[in-house]
Amino acid sequence: MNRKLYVLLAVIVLASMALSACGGTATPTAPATQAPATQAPATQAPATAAATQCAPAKMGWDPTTADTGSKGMTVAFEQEPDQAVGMFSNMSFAAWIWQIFGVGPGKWDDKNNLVPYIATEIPSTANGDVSADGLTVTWKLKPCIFWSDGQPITSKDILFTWQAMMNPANNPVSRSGWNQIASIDTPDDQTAVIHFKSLYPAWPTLLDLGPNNTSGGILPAHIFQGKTGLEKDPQVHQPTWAGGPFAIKEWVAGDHMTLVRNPNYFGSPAKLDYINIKFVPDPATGLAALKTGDVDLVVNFAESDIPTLQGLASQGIKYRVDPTSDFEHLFFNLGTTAGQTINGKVVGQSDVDGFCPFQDPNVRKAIILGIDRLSFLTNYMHEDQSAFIASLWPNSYWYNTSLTPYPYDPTQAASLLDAAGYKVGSDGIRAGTCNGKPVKFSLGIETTPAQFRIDDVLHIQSDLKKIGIDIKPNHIPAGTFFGSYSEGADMPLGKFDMAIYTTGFYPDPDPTGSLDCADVPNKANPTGGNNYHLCDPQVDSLIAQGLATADPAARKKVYDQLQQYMYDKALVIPLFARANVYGYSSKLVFPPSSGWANAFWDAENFDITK
Amino acid sequence: MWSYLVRRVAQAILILFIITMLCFILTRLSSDPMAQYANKPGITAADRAAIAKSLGLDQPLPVQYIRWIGLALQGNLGNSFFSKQPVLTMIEQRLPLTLILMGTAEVVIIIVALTLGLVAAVKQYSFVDNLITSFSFIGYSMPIFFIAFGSIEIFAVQFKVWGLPYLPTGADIWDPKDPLALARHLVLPVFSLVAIQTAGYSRYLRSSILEVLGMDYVRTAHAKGLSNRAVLFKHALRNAILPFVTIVGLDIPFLLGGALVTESIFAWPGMGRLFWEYAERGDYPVVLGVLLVTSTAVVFFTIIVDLAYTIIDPRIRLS
Repeated sequence: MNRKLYVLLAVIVLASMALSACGGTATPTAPATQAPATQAPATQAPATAAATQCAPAKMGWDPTTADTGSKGMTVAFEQEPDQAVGMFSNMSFAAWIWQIFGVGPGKWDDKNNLVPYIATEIPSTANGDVSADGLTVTWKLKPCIFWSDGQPITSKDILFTWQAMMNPANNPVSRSGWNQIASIDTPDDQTAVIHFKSLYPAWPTLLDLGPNNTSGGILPAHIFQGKTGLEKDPQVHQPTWAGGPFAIKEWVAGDHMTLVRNPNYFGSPAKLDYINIKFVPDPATGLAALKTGDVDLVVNFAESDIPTLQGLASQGIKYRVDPTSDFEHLFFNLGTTAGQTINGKVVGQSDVDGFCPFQDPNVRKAIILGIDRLSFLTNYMHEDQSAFIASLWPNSYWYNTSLTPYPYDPTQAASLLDAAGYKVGSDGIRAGTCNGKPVKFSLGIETTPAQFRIDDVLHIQSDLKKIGIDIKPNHIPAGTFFGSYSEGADMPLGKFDMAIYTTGFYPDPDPTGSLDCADVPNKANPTGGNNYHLCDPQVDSLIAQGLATADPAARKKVYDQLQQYMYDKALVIPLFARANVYGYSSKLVFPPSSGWANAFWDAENFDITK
Repeated sequence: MWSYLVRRVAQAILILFIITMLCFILTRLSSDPMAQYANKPGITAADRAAIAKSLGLDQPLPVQYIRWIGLALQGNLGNSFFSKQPVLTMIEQRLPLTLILMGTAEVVIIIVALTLGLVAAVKQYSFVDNLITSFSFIGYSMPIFFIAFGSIEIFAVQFKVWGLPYLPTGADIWDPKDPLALARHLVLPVFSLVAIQTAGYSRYLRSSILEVLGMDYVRTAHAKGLSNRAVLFKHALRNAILPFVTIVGLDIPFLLGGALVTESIFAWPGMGRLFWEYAERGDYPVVLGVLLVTSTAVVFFTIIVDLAYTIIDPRIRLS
């Protein structure tokens, strides 16, 4: 009888162990404050069949001592990342590395969709994981998933990530959105319930991995628990942990970084043994290295390199062009010292006035009509016509497809300017009066010295000359062009007529910070990011409406209206959507990619054929 | 001697102080570290204010400089604004590779320049002299990026197309499986540096030797019946090489600064690239750290060269 009882008890204990390991309520095998498990000796998985199903393949695995293997690819990066963990860097190159070794509940895929990564599904009101009021978002994580050192990935890591981001002793790049979280509940290891203080429709930008997302990814609590000053921590700069398909084995400063296959990755094992990232600052050297086979993939060619890459097919080199939601645009300084009165309060005052005629929508429209944007796009940038855009949300769900880009129509442009009272003078340049003061259409365009911008401004200069507008290009190094108000940079100070650069409103479409009155930079608000110095109550109202609902369909309607309004008023001049241009060896199996996901969203599927 | 040394060291400290201050002003005026965060919709005004505060950029420029120099005097060059790594560590990582590249190039340049200068002087106005002169001018007048890309196109890309053993362009410098990788990777950048810099040295040496060969003591040596070889190597060259040694001595500290264009084109992870990549982003702790190391070396070697004069040339007295 006793023997049967012991057997029964043993069965119950074993079954409960197996269930607890797989069922998601298991506590971590090591206390959260314990030293990283990478220092622990490697052990075999437990012997019982049930436990094996929910155990890491290699407990205590350490990438720095792992064998590199023989099958790998070499990728050329033009710049070296400054950090490896995404939320502590503003560099795209860091975000790409982060995509390879980091994890988040979701990630953006090759169709620009947010798809589950370590989560079982994307929260929505339909599946009940987003509350009706939009204030609560529940992430449900896959069971039996592990960090590279064999420690479990749990909802506690999500909680810890939020705490780390909000800890004033740490300095992440952005706390935007994290500071909207009131609390996170972790009822079990697979569930994180996020309670927001107020509606935050951009919640997918928190935690989820994407290259344009400085708040994506989660941190392993067992590595960082109890630490502060994470931005300086060696495990942020050169982590020995990973959740994704690869982990960083070595990083030789300025030269290369090698990532090796993570044996504890929860997804399909990576097809390559390693990814070697070589830092090649000169694009021409990158191209030469591609030709010699020293590298298999170069990730950041310019659009103007497309014809060169097309000509290399006979040398076994392929290329790919992914349209992105980044866009190049020309914009006006719309600043006024008067600002706007909204709800009885004066907002959006600039320190100086912009070029007075820019306040007239017809003048802005004339300038758009006076530039042959399509010709530059197809002849110089070598993109197809889909990159010819009408608004600032291209290649995304949010783009207003009913809008047609303004055509090149110099005759109509000249008529609009004539009608506005600005006549061509004897010197061929238009002049007139604005608000009682004489004005002349001799305008500066500020931008960086990138070659395509030098060509672009020359193109614009030539086109606008035909309608009586004189353009004086001013190419300023990016470090000064994008400088801050306190450093005396022209854009925030409002000391410019027009400017050109690339930006993008994605993965969340909200343009707060760039287009709203409250962010016009001035003496009282020197860190404001509204370089357009645009303060329009209608734009502000639509931006606010876009944040008043978490329903994507409802938001889409609002952003369509915003785009229509900006289009009608010709508030900015979209030039073209930017593209990611890759050159790669024909022996490389390059999985599908997209403008939002970039090349490395599913790094495990890269392969090399013989 | 000692009073001279003390005086020079005091001058050096003042010079270094002025150099760091000028470099700080130039760096801060030429690039704003906050520019990196200006154009990203996800980063709010509050984020930018927090970043500026955490980097000390919310303080007036004189305060920023005094903070930096205060730390530097304690041997702490601070941390990079972006990588957050200690600047000293970053320099330690890059300096050995710069010394390997520039040291190798300098040795080859000296050997080639000595040989060419000597041959050109001895065979003055001959076909060989004219040939050397022509190639010297070609090398001297050619931009280094032209030679660098040209050598990559020929010795890497085309050699591969022709089925010949080709040199690497972007291969790893530290490849444990291939210990010769470093040497192979050195060939093209060293070749480019040598092609450009040999010209100046060899022309300088040629004129120096020619000047010495026309002196009375050389004629006397010939009159004594010494062979041409003995006159050249035992008498003429030893004197002619003195100014050459001075030039090389003064060039040595600049080796620490690396070669910006060469390092960038050949993806060489040296000091020149470190300086440029972080200067572009306005990361002044890194920029000033590199400049401080380089300028300290220049000042130090200037003193050493001055002291060396007294040993090489007994006519010079420091007092």
